[in-house]
Amino acid sequence: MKDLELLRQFRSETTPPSEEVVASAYRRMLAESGQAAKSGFDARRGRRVRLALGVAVTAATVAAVMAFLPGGNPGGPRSAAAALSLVARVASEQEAVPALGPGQFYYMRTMSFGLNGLWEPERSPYLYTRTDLDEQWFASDGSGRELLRNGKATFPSERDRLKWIEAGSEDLQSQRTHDEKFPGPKGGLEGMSKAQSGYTGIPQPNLSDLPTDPAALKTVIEARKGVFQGMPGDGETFDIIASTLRSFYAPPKLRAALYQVASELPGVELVGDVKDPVGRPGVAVAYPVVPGLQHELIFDPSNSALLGERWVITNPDASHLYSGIPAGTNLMWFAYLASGIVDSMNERPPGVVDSTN
Amino acid sequence: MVMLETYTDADAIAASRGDHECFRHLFDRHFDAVHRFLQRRVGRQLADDLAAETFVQAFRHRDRYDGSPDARPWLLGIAVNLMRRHYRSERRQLDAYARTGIDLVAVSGFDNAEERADAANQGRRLARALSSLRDGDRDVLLLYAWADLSYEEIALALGVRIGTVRSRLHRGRRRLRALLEAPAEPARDHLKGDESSR
Repeated sequence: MKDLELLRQFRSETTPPSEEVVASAYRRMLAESGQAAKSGFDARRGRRVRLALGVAVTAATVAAVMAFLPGGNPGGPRSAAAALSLVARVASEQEAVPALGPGQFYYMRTMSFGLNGLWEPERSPYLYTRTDLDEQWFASDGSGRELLRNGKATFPSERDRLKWIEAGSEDLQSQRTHDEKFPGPKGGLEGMSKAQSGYTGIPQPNLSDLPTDPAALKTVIEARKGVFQGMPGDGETFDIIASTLRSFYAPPKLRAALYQVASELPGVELVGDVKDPVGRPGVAVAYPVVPGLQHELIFDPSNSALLGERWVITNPDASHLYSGIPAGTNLMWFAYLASGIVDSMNERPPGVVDSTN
Repeated sequence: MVMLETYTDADAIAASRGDHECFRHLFDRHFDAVHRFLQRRVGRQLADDLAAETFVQAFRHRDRYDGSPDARPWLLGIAVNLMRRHYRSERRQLDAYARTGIDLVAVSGFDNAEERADAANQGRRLARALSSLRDGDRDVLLLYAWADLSYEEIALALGVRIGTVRSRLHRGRRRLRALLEAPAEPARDHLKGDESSR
Protein backbone atom coordinates (compact mmCIF):
# COMPACT_ATOMS: atom_id res chain seq x y z
CA MET A 1 0.00 0.00 0.00
CA LYS A 2 2.99 2.29 0.41
CA ASP A 3 2.97 3.26 -3.25
CA LEU A 4 -0.61 4.50 -3.02
CA GLU A 5 0.07 6.40 0.19
CA LEU A 6 3.00 8.17 -1.41
CA LEU A 7 1.00 8.89 -4.50
CA ARG A 8 -1.83 10.35 -2.45
CA GLN A 9 0.59 12.75 -0.80
CA PHE A 10 2.15 13.72 -4.14
CA ARG A 11 1.04 17.26 -5.04
CA SER A 12 -1.55 17.15 -2.25
CA GLU A 13 -0.90 20.81 -1.49
CA THR A 14 -3.14 22.68 -3.89
CA THR A 15 -4.52 26.18 -3.97
CA PRO A 16 -8.31 26.55 -4.15
CA PRO A 17 -9.51 28.44 -7.20
CA SER A 18 -9.89 32.15 -6.57
CA GLU A 19 -13.36 33.65 -6.37
CA GLU A 20 -12.67 35.37 -9.68
CA VAL A 21 -11.90 32.06 -11.35
CA VAL A 22 -15.04 30.47 -9.87
CA ALA A 23 -17.22 33.40 -10.90
CA SER A 24 -15.78 33.40 -14.39
CA ALA A 25 -16.29 29.63 -14.74
CA TYR A 26 -19.84 29.97 -13.56
CA ARG A 27 -20.61 32.75 -16.04
CA ARG A 28 -19.07 30.63 -18.78
CA MET A 29 -21.35 27.76 -17.87
CA LEU A 30 -24.43 29.96 -17.82
CA ALA A 31 -23.46 31.47 -21.14
CA GLU A 32 -24.21 28.01 -22.49
CA SER A 33 -27.84 28.57 -21.56
CA GLY A 34 -27.93 32.23 -22.55
CA GLN A 35 -28.46 33.27 -18.96
CA ALA A 36 -25.10 34.84 -18.13
CA ALA A 37 -26.24 38.40 -18.58
CA LYS A 38 -29.17 38.17 -16.25
CA SER A 39 -27.52 36.06 -13.56
CA GLY A 40 -26.23 37.93 -10.52
CA PHE A 41 -23.35 35.82 -9.30
CA ASP A 42 -22.73 35.96 -5.58
CA ALA A 43 -19.19 34.98 -4.68
CA ARG A 44 -20.18 33.86 -1.19
CA ARG A 45 -20.28 30.12 -1.54
CA GLY A 46 -22.79 29.32 1.15
CA ARG A 47 -25.32 31.68 -0.28
CA ARG A 48 -24.96 30.20 -3.72
CA VAL A 49 -25.77 26.76 -2.38
CA ARG A 50 -28.91 27.93 -0.66
CA LEU A 51 -30.07 29.88 -3.66
CA ALA A 52 -29.52 26.98 -5.98
CA LEU A 53 -31.39 24.52 -3.81
CA GLY A 54 -34.19 26.96 -3.26
CA VAL A 55 -34.64 27.21 -6.99
CA ALA A 56 -34.56 23.46 -7.34
CA VAL A 57 -37.36 23.07 -4.85
CA THR A 58 -39.42 25.80 -6.43
CA ALA A 59 -39.09 24.20 -9.81
CA ALA A 60 -39.81 20.63 -8.91
CA THR A 61 -41.64 20.07 -5.68
CA VAL A 62 -43.69 23.00 -4.52
CA ALA A 63 -46.89 21.03 -4.32
CA ALA A 64 -45.35 18.14 -2.41
CA VAL A 65 -43.59 20.42 0.04
CA MET A 66 -46.70 22.44 0.70
CA ALA A 67 -48.64 19.32 1.54
CA PHE A 68 -46.60 18.44 4.58
CA LEU A 69 -44.69 21.44 5.85
CA PRO A 70 -46.05 23.10 8.98
CA GLY A 71 -48.13 26.05 7.88
CA GLY A 72 -48.31 24.74 4.31
CA ASN A 73 -51.34 23.33 2.59
CA PRO A 74 -54.26 23.79 5.01
CA GLY A 75 -55.48 20.31 4.09
CA GLY A 76 -52.19 18.55 4.90
CA PRO A 77 -50.84 17.47 8.29
CA ARG A 78 -49.18 20.22 10.28
CA SER A 79 -47.75 18.14 13.07
CA ALA A 80 -45.95 14.86 13.63
CA ALA A 81 -49.06 13.54 15.37
CA ALA A 82 -51.23 14.27 12.32
CA ALA A 83 -48.72 12.79 9.85
CA LEU A 84 -48.30 9.63 11.96
CA SER A 85 -52.04 9.20 12.44
CA LEU A 86 -52.55 9.46 8.68
CA VAL A 87 -49.95 6.83 7.91
CA ALA A 88 -51.39 4.63 10.68
CA ARG A 89 -54.74 4.77 8.92
CA VAL A 90 -53.15 3.79 5.61
CA ALA A 91 -51.42 0.82 7.28
CA SER A 92 -54.61 -0.35 9.00
CA GLU A 93 -56.29 -0.81 5.63
CA GLN A 94 -53.51 -2.89 4.06
CA GLU A 95 -53.49 -6.64 3.53
CA ALA A 96 -50.92 -8.70 5.42
CA VAL A 97 -48.25 -10.65 3.59
CA PRO A 98 -49.08 -14.39 3.66
CA ALA A 99 -47.18 -16.48 6.21
CA LEU A 100 -43.96 -18.12 5.05
CA GLY A 101 -44.44 -21.59 3.60
CA PRO A 102 -41.98 -24.48 4.01
CA GLY A 103 -38.69 -23.69 2.28
CA GLN A 104 -39.54 -20.00 1.93
CA PHE A 105 -37.60 -17.02 3.23
CA TYR A 106 -38.36 -13.43 4.07
CA TYR A 107 -35.81 -11.23 2.31
CA MET A 108 -34.67 -7.77 3.44
CA ARG A 109 -32.23 -5.47 1.72
CA THR A 110 -30.78 -2.50 3.64
CA MET A 111 -28.21 0.13 2.79
CA SER A 112 -26.47 1.85 5.66
CA PHE A 113 -24.07 4.73 6.10
CA GLY A 114 -21.97 5.76 9.08
CA LEU A 115 -19.72 8.66 9.94
CA ASN A 116 -17.33 6.74 12.15
CA GLY A 117 -14.75 7.71 14.73
CA LEU A 118 -16.76 10.44 16.41
CA TRP A 119 -17.43 8.72 19.69
CA GLU A 120 -13.96 7.59 20.63
CA PRO A 121 -11.61 10.43 19.72
CA GLU A 122 -8.86 8.95 21.90
CA ARG A 123 -8.93 5.59 20.16
CA SER A 124 -9.56 6.83 16.63
CA PRO A 125 -8.57 10.49 16.27
CA TYR A 126 -9.89 10.59 12.71
CA LEU A 127 -13.25 10.35 10.96
CA TYR A 128 -14.18 8.09 8.08
CA THR A 129 -17.38 7.12 6.33
CA ARG A 130 -18.53 3.88 4.80
CA THR A 131 -21.74 2.82 3.05
CA ASP A 132 -22.64 -0.87 3.33
CA LEU A 133 -25.22 -3.11 1.71
CA ASP A 134 -26.80 -5.77 3.90
CA GLU A 135 -29.11 -8.56 2.72
CA GLN A 136 -30.87 -11.02 5.01
CA TRP A 137 -32.97 -14.09 4.35
CA PHE A 138 -35.04 -15.55 7.22
CA ALA A 139 -36.93 -18.84 7.26
CA SER A 140 -39.88 -19.40 9.57
CA ASP A 141 -37.69 -21.40 11.94
CA GLY A 142 -35.34 -18.43 12.38
CA SER A 143 -32.52 -19.85 10.26
CA GLY A 144 -31.21 -17.89 7.31
CA ARG A 145 -28.39 -16.09 5.60
CA GLU A 146 -26.77 -12.68 5.85
CA LEU A 147 -24.73 -11.21 3.02
CA LEU A 148 -23.01 -8.00 4.06
CA ARG A 149 -20.94 -6.04 1.59
CA ASN A 150 -18.95 -3.16 3.00
CA GLY A 151 -18.38 -0.17 0.81
CA LYS A 152 -15.18 1.77 0.49
CA ALA A 153 -14.02 3.63 3.58
CA THR A 154 -13.57 7.32 2.77
CA PHE A 155 -12.03 10.11 4.79
CA PRO A 156 -13.88 13.43 5.00
CA SER A 157 -10.59 15.31 4.74
CA GLU A 158 -6.93 14.79 3.99
CA ARG A 159 -6.23 15.53 7.64
CA ASP A 160 -8.37 12.57 8.71
CA ARG A 161 -6.54 10.28 6.31
CA LEU A 162 -3.14 11.36 7.61
CA LYS A 163 -4.34 10.91 11.20
CA TRP A 164 -5.46 7.40 10.28
CA ILE A 165 -1.99 6.59 8.97
CA GLU A 166 -0.41 8.13 12.04
CA ALA A 167 -2.64 6.00 14.30
CA GLY A 168 -1.45 2.79 12.62
CA SER A 169 -3.71 2.44 9.57
CA GLU A 170 -6.40 0.47 11.37
CA ASP A 171 -8.36 -2.03 9.28
CA LEU A 172 -11.53 -0.16 8.31
CA GLN A 173 -13.20 -3.23 6.76
CA SER A 174 -13.19 -1.41 3.46
CA GLN A 175 -14.76 -3.24 0.53
CA ARG A 176 -15.12 -6.55 2.41
CA THR A 177 -17.83 -9.14 1.96
CA HIS A 178 -19.21 -11.26 4.78
CA ASP A 179 -21.49 -14.11 3.80
CA GLU A 180 -22.88 -16.23 6.60
CA LYS A 181 -25.59 -18.84 6.95
CA PHE A 182 -26.99 -19.12 10.44
CA PRO A 183 -29.06 -21.87 12.08
CA GLY A 184 -32.35 -21.14 13.83
CA PRO A 185 -32.75 -21.41 17.58
CA LYS A 186 -33.44 -24.83 19.04
CA GLY A 187 -37.15 -25.54 18.83
CA GLY A 188 -37.66 -22.82 16.19
CA LEU A 189 -38.94 -19.37 16.94
CA GLU A 190 -41.44 -20.74 19.42
CA GLY A 191 -38.56 -21.94 21.54
CA MET A 192 -36.69 -18.67 21.47
CA SER A 193 -37.00 -16.34 24.40
CA LYS A 194 -38.50 -13.11 23.17
CA ALA A 195 -36.16 -11.29 25.47
CA GLN A 196 -33.32 -12.32 23.17
CA SER A 197 -34.84 -10.72 20.15
CA GLY A 198 -34.51 -7.19 18.88
CA TYR A 199 -32.83 -5.22 16.18
CA THR A 200 -29.33 -6.51 16.68
CA GLY A 201 -30.24 -10.08 17.46
CA ILE A 202 -30.40 -12.53 14.58
CA PRO A 203 -32.73 -14.33 14.26
CA GLN A 204 -35.64 -12.13 15.15
CA PRO A 205 -39.17 -13.18 16.06
CA ASN A 206 -42.33 -13.07 14.08
CA LEU A 207 -44.18 -10.13 15.55
CA SER A 208 -47.66 -11.22 14.55
CA ASP A 209 -48.78 -12.12 18.09
CA LEU A 210 -48.24 -8.63 19.52
CA PRO A 211 -51.34 -6.53 20.32
CA THR A 212 -52.58 -4.42 17.43
CA ASP A 213 -54.80 -2.22 19.53
CA PRO A 214 -52.75 1.00 20.01
CA ALA A 215 -53.63 1.40 23.70
CA ALA A 216 -52.74 -2.21 24.50
CA LEU A 217 -49.56 -1.99 22.48
CA LYS A 218 -48.57 1.21 24.23
CA THR A 219 -49.00 -0.50 27.60
CA VAL A 220 -46.81 -3.43 26.53
CA ILE A 221 -44.12 -1.16 25.10
CA GLU A 222 -44.04 1.10 28.14
CA ALA A 223 -43.78 -1.91 30.44
CA ARG A 224 -40.65 -2.89 28.46
CA LYS A 225 -41.79 -6.50 28.47
CA GLY A 226 -41.48 -9.26 25.89
CA VAL A 227 -39.72 -8.08 22.75
CA PHE A 228 -39.59 -4.53 24.06
CA GLN A 229 -36.53 -4.38 26.25
CA GLY A 230 -34.89 -1.12 27.20
CA MET A 231 -34.59 1.80 29.59
CA PRO A 232 -37.61 3.90 30.57
CA GLY A 233 -38.28 7.19 28.79
CA ASP A 234 -39.95 8.59 25.67
CA GLY A 235 -36.71 8.59 23.67
CA GLU A 236 -36.30 4.87 24.29
CA THR A 237 -39.96 4.31 23.35
CA PHE A 238 -39.40 6.13 20.06
CA ASP A 239 -36.37 3.94 19.42
CA ILE A 240 -38.29 0.76 20.30
CA ILE A 241 -41.04 1.73 17.84
CA ALA A 242 -38.42 2.35 15.17
CA SER A 243 -36.71 -0.98 15.93
CA THR A 244 -39.99 -2.85 15.64
CA LEU A 245 -40.92 -1.16 12.36
CA ARG A 246 -37.58 -2.16 10.89
CA SER A 247 -37.72 -5.68 12.32
CA PHE A 248 -38.21 -8.99 10.58
CA TYR A 249 -41.77 -8.39 9.43
CA ALA A 250 -44.27 -6.08 11.13
CA PRO A 251 -47.74 -6.87 9.67
CA PRO A 252 -49.87 -3.87 8.62
CA LYS A 253 -52.14 -3.94 11.68
CA LEU A 254 -49.14 -3.90 14.00
CA ARG A 255 -47.49 -1.21 11.88
CA ALA A 256 -50.64 0.90 12.18
CA ALA A 257 -50.61 0.53 15.97
CA LEU A 258 -46.91 1.41 16.16
CA TYR A 259 -47.40 4.59 14.11
CA GLN A 260 -50.39 5.46 16.29
CA VAL A 261 -48.40 5.02 19.52
CA ALA A 262 -45.63 7.20 18.03
CA SER A 263 -48.20 9.87 17.16
CA GLU A 264 -49.10 10.19 20.85
CA LEU A 265 -45.51 10.36 22.09
CA PRO A 266 -44.50 13.79 23.46
CA GLY A 267 -41.49 15.41 21.82
CA VAL A 268 -41.88 13.92 18.34
CA GLU A 269 -41.68 16.66 15.72
CA LEU A 270 -42.63 16.88 12.07
CA VAL A 271 -39.66 17.41 9.76
CA GLY A 272 -41.86 17.41 6.67
CA ASP A 273 -41.45 16.15 3.14
CA VAL A 274 -37.98 14.81 2.56
CA LYS A 275 -36.07 12.49 0.31
CA ASP A 276 -34.79 9.41 2.05
CA PRO A 277 -31.03 8.69 1.94
CA VAL A 278 -31.30 7.11 -1.50
CA GLY A 279 -33.54 9.81 -2.97
CA ARG A 280 -37.05 8.39 -2.51
CA PRO A 281 -39.72 10.89 -1.44
CA GLY A 282 -41.21 10.42 2.01
CA VAL A 283 -42.28 12.16 5.18
CA ALA A 284 -40.01 12.43 8.21
CA VAL A 285 -40.68 12.79 11.90
CA ALA A 286 -37.91 13.26 14.46
CA TYR A 287 -37.10 12.79 18.10
CA PRO A 288 -34.19 14.64 19.76
CA VAL A 289 -32.02 11.79 21.02
CA VAL A 290 -29.52 13.98 22.88
CA PRO A 291 -28.91 17.72 22.65
CA GLY A 292 -27.85 18.57 19.11
CA LEU A 293 -28.74 15.20 17.59
CA GLN A 294 -32.09 13.95 16.28
CA HIS A 295 -33.32 10.56 15.13
CA GLU A 296 -35.55 10.76 12.07
CA LEU A 297 -37.99 8.16 10.78
CA ILE A 298 -38.84 8.49 7.11
CA PHE A 299 -41.92 6.73 5.83
CA ASP A 300 -43.93 6.56 2.65
CA PRO A 301 -47.36 8.00 3.47
CA SER A 302 -48.95 6.22 0.52
CA ASN A 303 -48.12 2.66 1.61
CA SER A 304 -46.95 3.03 5.25
CA ALA A 305 -43.53 1.50 4.51
CA LEU A 306 -40.61 2.63 6.62
CA LEU A 307 -38.19 3.93 3.97
CA GLY A 308 -35.28 4.79 6.19
CA GLU A 309 -33.89 6.34 9.34
CA ARG A 310 -31.16 8.83 9.98
CA TRP A 311 -29.39 10.50 12.86
CA VAL A 312 -28.75 14.15 12.07
CA ILE A 313 -26.65 16.75 13.86
CA THR A 314 -28.93 19.73 14.46
CA ASN A 315 -26.65 21.84 16.65
CA PRO A 316 -22.88 21.29 16.48
CA ASP A 317 -22.37 23.54 19.50
CA ALA A 318 -24.34 21.19 21.75
CA SER A 319 -21.45 18.75 22.22
CA HIS A 320 -17.69 18.89 21.78
CA LEU A 321 -18.02 15.65 19.82
CA TYR A 322 -19.74 17.48 16.95
CA SER A 323 -17.51 20.51 17.04
CA GLY A 324 -16.61 21.60 13.53
CA ILE A 325 -19.19 19.34 11.88
CA PRO A 326 -21.83 21.32 9.98
CA ALA A 327 -25.45 21.23 11.17
CA GLY A 328 -27.44 18.89 8.95
CA THR A 329 -24.68 16.29 8.74
CA ASN A 330 -25.86 12.68 8.89
CA LEU A 331 -24.03 10.65 11.51
CA MET A 332 -25.71 7.49 10.34
CA TRP A 333 -28.54 6.39 8.10
CA PHE A 334 -30.36 3.27 6.98
CA ALA A 335 -32.35 2.92 3.78
CA TYR A 336 -34.68 -0.08 3.60
CA LEU A 337 -34.49 -0.85 -0.08
CA ALA A 338 -36.57 -3.96 -0.61
CA SER A 339 -38.28 -6.88 1.10
CA GLY A 340 -40.42 -9.83 0.10
CA ILE A 341 -40.87 -13.59 0.16
CA VAL A 342 -38.54 -15.81 -1.87
CA ASP A 343 -38.06 -19.54 -2.33
CA SER A 344 -34.34 -19.85 -1.59
CA MET A 345 -31.46 -18.12 0.15
CA ASN A 346 -29.98 -17.24 -3.23
CA GLU A 347 -33.10 -15.61 -4.55
CA ARG A 348 -34.27 -12.02 -4.42
CA PRO A 349 -37.79 -10.66 -4.97
CA PRO A 350 -38.76 -9.65 -8.51
CA GLY A 351 -37.26 -6.30 -9.46
CA VAL A 352 -34.30 -6.59 -7.08
CA VAL A 353 -31.32 -6.92 -9.37
CA ASP A 354 -28.01 -7.93 -7.94
CA SER A 355 -24.86 -9.14 -9.59
CA THR A 356 -23.69 -11.17 -6.59
CA ASN A 357 -25.10 -14.45 -5.37
CA MET B 1 -34.57 23.48 5.18
CA VAL B 2 -33.60 19.94 6.16
CA MET B 3 -35.17 18.51 3.05
CA LEU B 4 -33.14 20.79 0.81
CA GLU B 5 -29.94 19.16 1.94
CA THR B 6 -31.16 15.81 0.68
CA TYR B 7 -31.25 16.84 -2.97
CA THR B 8 -29.06 14.62 -5.09
CA ASP B 9 -27.08 15.65 -8.13
CA ALA B 10 -29.54 13.71 -10.27
CA ASP B 11 -32.39 15.84 -8.86
CA ALA B 12 -30.50 19.04 -9.64
CA ILE B 13 -29.76 17.92 -13.19
CA ALA B 14 -33.37 16.88 -13.74
CA ALA B 15 -34.62 20.20 -12.34
CA SER B 16 -32.15 22.10 -14.53
CA ARG B 17 -34.04 20.92 -17.61
CA GLY B 18 -36.84 23.22 -16.52
CA ASP B 19 -34.75 25.88 -14.84
CA HIS B 20 -31.13 26.23 -15.90
CA GLU B 21 -30.16 27.88 -12.63
CA CYS B 22 -30.63 24.55 -10.86
CA PHE B 23 -27.41 23.36 -12.44
CA ARG B 24 -25.71 25.75 -10.04
CA HIS B 25 -26.16 23.11 -7.32
CA LEU B 26 -23.84 20.79 -9.22
CA PHE B 27 -21.36 23.55 -9.81
CA ASP B 28 -21.28 24.55 -6.15
CA ARG B 29 -20.87 21.01 -4.98
CA HIS B 30 -18.18 19.80 -7.36
CA PHE B 31 -16.26 22.65 -8.93
CA ASP B 32 -13.52 22.67 -6.29
CA ALA B 33 -13.00 18.90 -6.46
CA VAL B 34 -12.73 18.92 -10.25
CA HIS B 35 -10.39 21.90 -10.12
CA ARG B 36 -8.20 20.26 -7.49
CA PHE B 37 -7.87 17.04 -9.52
CA LEU B 38 -6.92 18.98 -12.63
CA GLN B 39 -4.55 21.25 -10.75
CA ARG B 40 -2.61 18.26 -9.45
CA ARG B 41 -2.24 16.99 -12.98
CA VAL B 42 -1.54 20.05 -15.08
CA GLY B 43 -1.09 23.01 -12.76
CA ARG B 44 -3.32 25.77 -11.61
CA GLN B 45 -3.47 27.92 -14.71
CA LEU B 46 -4.61 25.18 -17.05
CA ALA B 47 -6.89 23.78 -14.34
CA ASP B 48 -8.75 27.11 -14.18
CA ASP B 49 -9.62 26.76 -17.85
CA LEU B 50 -10.29 23.02 -17.96
CA ALA B 51 -12.47 23.01 -14.84
CA ALA B 52 -14.61 25.77 -16.33
CA GLU B 53 -14.85 23.89 -19.64
CA THR B 54 -15.80 20.70 -17.75
CA PHE B 55 -18.95 22.36 -16.44
CA VAL B 56 -19.77 23.89 -19.82
CA GLN B 57 -19.61 20.40 -21.35
CA ALA B 58 -21.56 18.92 -18.45
CA PHE B 59 -24.30 21.49 -18.84
CA ARG B 60 -24.42 20.98 -22.59
CA HIS B 61 -24.73 17.20 -22.27
CA ARG B 62 -26.84 16.98 -19.12
CA ASP B 63 -29.55 15.06 -20.98
CA ARG B 64 -27.12 12.16 -21.20
CA TYR B 65 -26.66 11.94 -17.45
CA ASP B 66 -27.38 8.43 -16.17
CA GLY B 67 -29.24 9.47 -13.00
CA SER B 68 -26.64 8.46 -10.39
CA PRO B 69 -27.09 10.40 -7.14
CA ASP B 70 -23.44 11.54 -7.18
CA ALA B 71 -22.28 13.29 -10.36
CA ARG B 72 -18.62 13.52 -9.37
CA PRO B 73 -17.47 10.48 -11.42
CA TRP B 74 -19.30 11.81 -14.47
CA LEU B 75 -17.75 15.26 -14.08
CA LEU B 76 -14.26 13.85 -13.54
CA GLY B 77 -14.74 11.72 -16.64
CA ILE B 78 -15.46 14.87 -18.64
CA ALA B 79 -12.42 16.55 -17.07
CA VAL B 80 -10.17 13.63 -18.03
CA ASN B 81 -11.55 13.70 -21.52
CA LEU B 82 -10.67 17.37 -21.83
CA MET B 83 -7.24 16.66 -20.38
CA ARG B 84 -6.38 14.35 -23.25
CA ARG B 85 -5.32 17.34 -25.34
CA HIS B 86 -2.83 18.14 -22.62
CA TYR B 87 -1.21 14.76 -21.96
CA ARG B 88 2.01 15.98 -23.56
CA SER B 89 2.13 19.00 -21.33
CA GLU B 90 1.49 16.81 -18.28
CA ARG B 91 4.26 14.40 -19.22
CA ARG B 92 6.64 17.27 -19.92
CA GLN B 93 6.08 18.75 -16.48
CA LEU B 94 6.50 15.36 -14.82
CA ASP B 95 9.72 14.73 -16.76
CA ALA B 96 11.06 18.12 -15.74
CA TYR B 97 10.29 17.38 -12.13
CA ALA B 98 11.97 13.96 -12.35
CA ARG B 99 15.12 15.52 -13.84
CA THR B 100 15.41 18.67 -11.80
CA GLY B 101 13.56 18.11 -8.54
CA ILE B 102 11.50 21.21 -9.22
CA ASP B 103 7.79 20.75 -9.54
CA LEU B 104 6.26 23.52 -11.59
CA VAL B 105 2.78 22.27 -10.78
CA ALA B 106 2.70 21.89 -7.01
CA VAL B 107 2.51 24.50 -4.32
CA SER B 108 5.28 23.95 -1.77
CA GLY B 109 3.93 23.14 1.66
CA PHE B 110 7.27 22.72 3.40
CA ASP B 111 8.91 25.30 5.59
CA ASN B 112 12.51 24.17 5.68
CA ALA B 113 15.04 23.13 3.09
CA GLU B 114 15.52 19.62 4.52
CA GLU B 115 11.84 18.76 4.33
CA ARG B 116 11.70 20.22 0.86
CA ALA B 117 14.64 18.13 -0.29
CA ASP B 118 13.15 14.89 1.09
CA ALA B 119 9.85 15.59 -0.54
CA ALA B 120 11.56 16.49 -3.79
CA ASN B 121 13.50 13.19 -3.85
CA GLN B 122 10.37 11.16 -3.30
CA GLY B 123 8.49 13.40 -5.70
CA ARG B 124 11.06 12.92 -8.44
CA ARG B 125 10.60 9.15 -8.29
CA LEU B 126 6.84 9.52 -8.39
CA ALA B 127 7.03 12.00 -11.25
CA ARG B 128 9.27 9.66 -13.22
CA ALA B 129 6.91 6.76 -12.59
CA LEU B 130 3.80 8.73 -13.55
CA SER B 131 5.43 10.10 -16.66
CA SER B 132 6.40 6.62 -17.80
CA LEU B 133 2.86 5.24 -17.53
CA ARG B 134 0.55 4.93 -20.50
CA ASP B 135 -1.85 7.87 -20.48
CA GLY B 136 -4.86 5.62 -19.90
CA ASP B 137 -3.16 3.84 -17.00
CA ARG B 138 -2.27 7.17 -15.43
CA ASP B 139 -5.90 8.33 -15.74
CA VAL B 140 -7.13 5.26 -13.86
CA LEU B 141 -4.43 5.38 -11.19
CA LEU B 142 -4.98 9.06 -10.43
CA LEU B 143 -8.78 8.81 -10.40
CA TYR B 144 -8.32 6.02 -7.88
CA ALA B 145 -5.63 7.63 -5.72
CA TRP B 146 -6.45 11.33 -5.99
CA ALA B 147 -10.19 11.37 -6.57
CA ASP B 148 -10.99 8.31 -4.41
CA LEU B 149 -13.26 6.82 -7.07
CA SER B 150 -14.16 3.13 -6.84
CA TYR B 151 -13.52 0.73 -9.73
CA GLU B 152 -17.16 1.06 -10.79
CA GLU B 153 -17.02 4.84 -10.70
CA ILE B 154 -13.82 4.92 -12.72
CA ALA B 155 -15.38 2.60 -15.28
CA LEU B 156 -18.35 4.96 -15.48
CA ALA B 157 -16.14 8.05 -15.69
CA LEU B 158 -13.96 6.72 -18.48
CA GLY B 159 -16.56 4.65 -20.30
CA VAL B 160 -14.55 1.43 -19.99
CA ARG B 161 -15.27 -1.95 -18.43
CA ILE B 162 -14.42 -2.72 -14.82
CA GLY B 163 -11.99 -5.39 -16.00
CA THR B 164 -10.12 -2.72 -17.93
CA VAL B 165 -9.97 -0.55 -14.84
CA ARG B 166 -8.55 -3.44 -12.82
CA SER B 167 -5.87 -4.29 -15.35
CA ARG B 168 -4.85 -0.65 -15.85
CA LEU B 169 -4.66 -0.08 -12.13
CA HIS B 170 -2.65 -3.25 -11.63
CA ARG B 171 -0.21 -2.31 -14.38
CA GLY B 172 0.11 1.27 -13.15
CA ARG B 173 0.79 0.28 -9.56
CA ARG B 174 3.30 -2.37 -10.55
CA ARG B 175 5.21 0.21 -12.55
CA LEU B 176 4.93 2.72 -9.73
CA ARG B 177 6.31 0.27 -7.17
CA ALA B 178 9.20 -0.73 -9.42
CA LEU B 179 10.28 2.85 -9.97
CA LEU B 180 9.84 3.86 -6.35
CA GLU B 181 12.28 1.15 -5.36
CA ALA B 182 14.85 2.21 -7.96
CA PRO B 183 17.54 4.76 -6.95
CA ALA B 184 16.81 8.36 -7.92
CA GLU B 185 18.99 10.03 -10.52
CA PRO B 186 20.91 13.02 -9.18
CA ALA B 187 19.25 16.31 -9.98
CA ARG B 188 21.03 18.78 -12.20
CA ASP B 189 23.23 20.96 -10.02
CA HIS B 190 22.50 24.32 -11.55
CA LEU B 191 18.80 23.75 -11.23
CA LYS B 192 19.24 22.57 -7.66
CA GLY B 193 20.93 25.87 -6.98
CA ASP B 194 17.96 27.63 -8.49
CA GLU B 195 15.64 25.70 -6.21
CA SER B 196 17.44 26.58 -2.99
CA SER B 197 17.35 30.23 -3.87
CA ARG B 198 13.62 30.23 -4.52
